[in-house]
Amino acid sequence: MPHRWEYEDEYLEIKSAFRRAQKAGDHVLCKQLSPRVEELDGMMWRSMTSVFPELSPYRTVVEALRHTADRLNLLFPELANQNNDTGDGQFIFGVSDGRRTVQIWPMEDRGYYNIKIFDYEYIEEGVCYPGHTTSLDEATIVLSRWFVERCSIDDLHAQFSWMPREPLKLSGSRMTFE
Amino acid sequence: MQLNGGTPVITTYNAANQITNAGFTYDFVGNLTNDGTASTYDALNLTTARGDTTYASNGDGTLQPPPGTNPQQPQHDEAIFSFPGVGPGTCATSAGFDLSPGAEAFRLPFPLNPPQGPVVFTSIYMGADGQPRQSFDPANAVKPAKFGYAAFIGKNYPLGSSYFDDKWFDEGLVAIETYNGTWQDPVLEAMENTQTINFLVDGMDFSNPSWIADAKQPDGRGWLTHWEMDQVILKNYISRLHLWENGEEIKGFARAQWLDAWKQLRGLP
Repeated sequence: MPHRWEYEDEYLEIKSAFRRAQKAGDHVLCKQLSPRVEELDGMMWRSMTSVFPELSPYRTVVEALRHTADRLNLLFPELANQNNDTGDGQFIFGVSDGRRTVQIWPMEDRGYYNIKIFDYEYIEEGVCYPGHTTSLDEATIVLSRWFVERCSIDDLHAQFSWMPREPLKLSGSRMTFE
Repeated sequence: MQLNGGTPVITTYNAANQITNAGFTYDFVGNLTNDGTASTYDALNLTTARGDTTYASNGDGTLQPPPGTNPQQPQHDEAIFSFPGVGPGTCATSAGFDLSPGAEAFRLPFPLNPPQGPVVFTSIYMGADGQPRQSFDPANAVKPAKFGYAAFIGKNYPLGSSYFDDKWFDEGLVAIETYNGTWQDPVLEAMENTQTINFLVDGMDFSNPSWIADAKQPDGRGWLTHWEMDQVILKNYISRLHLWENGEEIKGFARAQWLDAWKQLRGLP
């Protein structure tokens, strides 16, 4: 896989322009940009669903998670709550109430759902527990148990050994230059 | 009175016990700079040259061959530099830095407190030829050149049994020091002059508003390096940016998704 998608520059530019137009209430510009935004998003979604076919009935990651939670009879976060910042949830899902966070990101180049859960209850800077699974059901269970049920990391680790008990610690500089 | 070759010579001294005879000169801090043979000293008053012989010194004052005389063994704990108001010389890394042998190109911050002025911070970059440069020059750095800095530097952030910056040096990375209120400049300089900007996204929370807002402090410094990523995007260095997570590079669609999410959350154009 190449370092960069061939349409990366255009994608980043047009998505920003579209969001600005939405925010400004510029419906004419939104209408102009919409076809290309949908085309590029569609290209990305088709590629993602070729690796994760279980996502193909849906249009966004957040929609897939919500339906999966319903199917499994799991509690799903109240995304209408303004305290829970979610972003658009199209390709990367995230929910946070400032004390706990869950992020779920299907990464097609790796073939797994990248999951990060964060805990801010005891440490202001927060701690992160990263894990990954190839199962949408498992990803949804982690979301519900950590964010809605408020289970402990030990409980989560006991259920899914791929969720680490110890938090992430960076071993070096976040940014380096070569 | 002393005898010199049978000829009596009267040696005179001033109040600082410096010889005042003709031909003897001292610098402003009292180092003997000429007694018939010229001598120079570094900022720690260690000899850097006497006559045609040059010296360098490490942190404990041991004299060593000058940097660059043996390219296989660059003197990582030394640097040549020029302090404003002091003049060229060599200086041991007395700033509390103990660069690991893995660091092969580096920028050193030097606190110096010359007698005639306030504390001065300056820095140099060491090239592959052992020569100093004013800006980071990866093409001429000892390879492989790695250059980095930590958001936590100076805070002694605990990391297991060591501290973050200790661990960081153990990794063979080298410093952009961030104190003295000018940390943004060397970071931008490094961005501008390097071909590859690596960024670890491990543990970055896109969903917690307070986390995202953290970098909106007056100095723009977020404890998870928000400002730096913003600058990569705003200055259009994206093509040189490499995102890493869990030890693997994020490529293709996933990379575009991450960058778009970042721009969305940070409100970048």
